[in-house]
Amino acid sequence: MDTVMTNPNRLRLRLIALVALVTIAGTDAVASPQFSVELVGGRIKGDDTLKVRQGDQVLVSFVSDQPIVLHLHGYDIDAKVAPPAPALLTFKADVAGRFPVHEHRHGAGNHRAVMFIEVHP
Amino acid sequence: MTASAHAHGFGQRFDLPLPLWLWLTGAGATIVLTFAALALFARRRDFGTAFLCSIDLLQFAPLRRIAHPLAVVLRTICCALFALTLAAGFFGNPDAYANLIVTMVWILWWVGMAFFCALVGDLWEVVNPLPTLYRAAVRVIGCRESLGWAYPARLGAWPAVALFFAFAWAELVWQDKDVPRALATALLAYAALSWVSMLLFGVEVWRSRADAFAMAFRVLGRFAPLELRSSTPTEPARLRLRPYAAGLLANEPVPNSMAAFVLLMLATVTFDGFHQTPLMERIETAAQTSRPVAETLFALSATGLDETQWLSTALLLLFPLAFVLIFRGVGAWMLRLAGSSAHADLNAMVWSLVPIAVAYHLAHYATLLLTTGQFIIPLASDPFGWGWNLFGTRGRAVDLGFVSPAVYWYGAVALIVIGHVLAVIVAHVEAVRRFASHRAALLSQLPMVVLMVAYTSLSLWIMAQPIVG
Repeated sequence: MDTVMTNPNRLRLRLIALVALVTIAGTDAVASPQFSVELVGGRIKGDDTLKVRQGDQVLVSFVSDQPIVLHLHGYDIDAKVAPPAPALLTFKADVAGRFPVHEHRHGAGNHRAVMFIEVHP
Repeated sequence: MTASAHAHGFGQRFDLPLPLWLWLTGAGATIVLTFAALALFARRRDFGTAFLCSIDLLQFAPLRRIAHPLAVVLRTICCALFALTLAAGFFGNPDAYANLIVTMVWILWWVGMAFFCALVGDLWEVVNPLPTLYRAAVRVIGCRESLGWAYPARLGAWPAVALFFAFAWAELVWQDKDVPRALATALLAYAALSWVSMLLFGVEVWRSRADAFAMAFRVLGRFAPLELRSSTPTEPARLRLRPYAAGLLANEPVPNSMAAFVLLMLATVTFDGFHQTPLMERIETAAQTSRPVAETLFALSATGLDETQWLSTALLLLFPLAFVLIFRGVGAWMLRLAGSSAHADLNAMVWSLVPIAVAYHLAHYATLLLTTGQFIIPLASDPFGWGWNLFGTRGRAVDLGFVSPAVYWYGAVALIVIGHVLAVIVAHVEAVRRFASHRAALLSQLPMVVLMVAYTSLSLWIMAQPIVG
């Protein structure tokens, strides 16, 4: 292939390789996205899905008008919100997927997800 | 994991929705390949024959020698597992994740056995512990196998339809499906019903007309490359190798009840995906805000099921009804296009939808089997949740990253598109058999192709929706 490749082609190939390298280097650095989530009456205000990249160090800060225990399914971590103080949920998003955050309650009941965190590959 | 983390429903799925470009690519490929398949296969009228060849594996002496003892060993293992599962359910830990029964029934048996039946062969027909235990008991007691009541012929396979609906309801709506004791009670009740029916009408009548699971696995097994049948008093055992989906091209007539059963299976699998989409959530909200619906639901909620459950039940009923209506409509349209001479029985056309359903089933449940199914590793060491450690695997954690989203996405789309192509081929072979002229067969395929593209698109659309359930 090399012998038939003309100079502009080779240059293009190098450029592509360079872009690819930069992209890889770019994803290598750990991003640390931060989110603030406001809950009213156990329901989220605004968009119910947070999107992060796999490998990110994620920080979610919750404020709520009532005491609430939140549980990030899959990662299985809890955040206890005691108003007026905000609660922090912090984790390294090393597994990709769509993970629900449930309100933690005891006994039977409808376990509706409060919000979702999507970890994209 | 802490015990409190288990309070949420069992078998949570964490699949990312299909990216838009992949969804559109899948839908596009579906349409292009449909026409390619039709153009390629529609020309030859004898196309089906190559597809129908199969090899009798029992003609090979070593296989013949192994097959019978292997079946006996597998049956014995399954009876032991059945007893262990029931015992764990009744006497074990009430925590869904610590008790073998929940993982065993919902993941390993229902999902795993369905996968095996669709991809390899109808193993359930061979290993089903209920007839094995029944026949063993009859032999020990030394009485007649059945009282020999005549099964009312007009009932057809309707008892299986009713029981499968009950099962689907339990899987999708029943609140206590993750409660080990409740699940064990349901399992024992089904076993008791089976045994009483076997006593009244005979083992084979129960299995071929009323046993929802024998029927469901048999439908999936028709898609599989191995034709598996254990011997019955009237027929010898069968072990034949055939191409995928060739078993769907059976020649026997399909009664209405059987067609309804297949459509019910397809509808419930689709509903399972659908009820986790945001659209379902919007329907729920709409139902709660519409006064008459909300009042009806509220009145019904006094009966023990809550509003959401009643709504799910209603939709679970509506889905199969819609599938049957659409199928009937498509059938009528096919006959019209094929011309006045056509009076073919189109019930057999349901078989052609099975490859899409199998593909969707595999795509929908694969991650569940591969992630939640891992619970069987710690459970094998501690089936009752009593703190045993038989094989040293207790407390082994589940690796959620086992299936990467990319593998899941490409696998799901590839499966659904391949299933779709097989469906088009099967439908074409069926049509050629049924209609006198080539032209009639080709024309009759138009409505079927429209139905299939719609069904495949619906399956792909569900995969592209975020899971909210």
